[in-house]
Amino acid sequence: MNKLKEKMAKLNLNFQKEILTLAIIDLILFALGVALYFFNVSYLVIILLGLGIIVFTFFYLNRYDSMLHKKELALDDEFIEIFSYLKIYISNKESVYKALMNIKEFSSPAMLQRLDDLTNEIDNDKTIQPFITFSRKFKNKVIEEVMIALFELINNGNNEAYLNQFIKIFEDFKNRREREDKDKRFRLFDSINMMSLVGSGYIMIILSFCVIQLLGEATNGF
Amino acid sequence: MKKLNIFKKKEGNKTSSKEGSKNRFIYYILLSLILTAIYFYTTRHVIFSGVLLAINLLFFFLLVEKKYLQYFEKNRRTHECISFVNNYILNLSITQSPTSTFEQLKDSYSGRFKEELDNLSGLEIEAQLESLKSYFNLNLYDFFVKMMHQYIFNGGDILNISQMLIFDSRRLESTLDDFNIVAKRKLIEFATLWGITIIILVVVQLSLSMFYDTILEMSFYSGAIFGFFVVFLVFLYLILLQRFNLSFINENMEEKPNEQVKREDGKA
Repeated sequence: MNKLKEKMAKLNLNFQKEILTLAIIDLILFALGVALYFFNVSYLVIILLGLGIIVFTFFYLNRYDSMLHKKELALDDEFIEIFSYLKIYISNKESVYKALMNIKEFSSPAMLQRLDDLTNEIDNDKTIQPFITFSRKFKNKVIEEVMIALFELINNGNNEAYLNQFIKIFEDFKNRREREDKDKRFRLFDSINMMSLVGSGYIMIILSFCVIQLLGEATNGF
Repeated sequence: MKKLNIFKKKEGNKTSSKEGSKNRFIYYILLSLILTAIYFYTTRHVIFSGVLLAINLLFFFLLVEKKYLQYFEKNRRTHECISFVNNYILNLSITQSPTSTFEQLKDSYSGRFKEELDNLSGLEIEAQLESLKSYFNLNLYDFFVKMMHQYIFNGGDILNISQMLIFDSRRLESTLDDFNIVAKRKLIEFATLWGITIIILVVVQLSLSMFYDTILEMSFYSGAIFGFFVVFLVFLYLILLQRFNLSFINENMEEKPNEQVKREDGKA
């Protein structure tokens, strides 16, 4: 239960509200089952409804993992977006620290919190540690490489060679990520298009069933 | 000052979704009627046909239209934003005057964006650029405005400063265009595949014409075919959700509702 509470808190969801919503939906489905029982509907339908309640509850309570995963991916994407701006700032001879402060303006609250932590830690610790701590909060491990390159850039006084190295690592990461996103989007299209086979199969099953019934009637007279 | 001819005038017919709504509504009605006609032809069930027609019309006019309008607006504004930002920077590098650049750009656009630009007449240039933030609602534009503030205060070579911004915005534009091309192609694939499935339904129906009346008497048949058309609508909705999904374009964070963030390390 505590784990569930933790997940909901990370998603800014209210535990009581979530459980209440689930309980109301389950109760409505249960009431429907009771009504069906009094209307003498087949037991099979009632059993299916009961199974439906169990399956629904299972998926409802397990959807938080996928929501968290999506949130993490969204933060990775946001990292790419705002660090594109950071790249422009430092290319225009801004210091990395000032660029980090500037990009806060374009950040979501979750990213802003991470950037605040990063800049606060940089104030107290001039080693690579704040950059590593920041990168470990993201799902994508390449972010660590980007942050190391950023630290190297600070450590070498915005040297041109280190700036180019940072830009190269960041751009490679951005390109790879964009390619992955694009592939994912188009794979989704393909999966939905494949579902037309479900339609064809469904039609074939209905028509086969009709033909078999017709043949049965013709040969056995039932 | 002679007007610079480096911009393409935006076509008016691309500026408003309302102008195309008449054609779209005709498509919605035609598609609904065709699907219902096929259903009626295969089942001869009047009541279910009526219900299917109502479902089709509600589906297209409520669900599809809403998604389309959201997509259309975001697509249009993103293109306008990229075009505006790039043209502004290029023109500014020639004129060196933010105000006259803005005035010149006004005439390069038409439709709603032109109206928006006209409404800003009389304001200071910074206020004009700032006001367009809520219109575009894109991080890219916010960044551009911030850059312009710096340029106005510190000066410098605008082309040099914004070279990477132009590059990134062009990249976003090409991602958007690529997506639109491929998504259109995938939608055509979807229509073809489901079209073939529906043709199979009709052709088998025709080839079974000898037993057709007996099939129609089977109680489950009209319900099962009705189910097929509902399943089709579900998949059509799924593919349209993908077609109109421009979530890869990041919107302005300020426009999002205030999000309370719980600290990851648990500190207050």
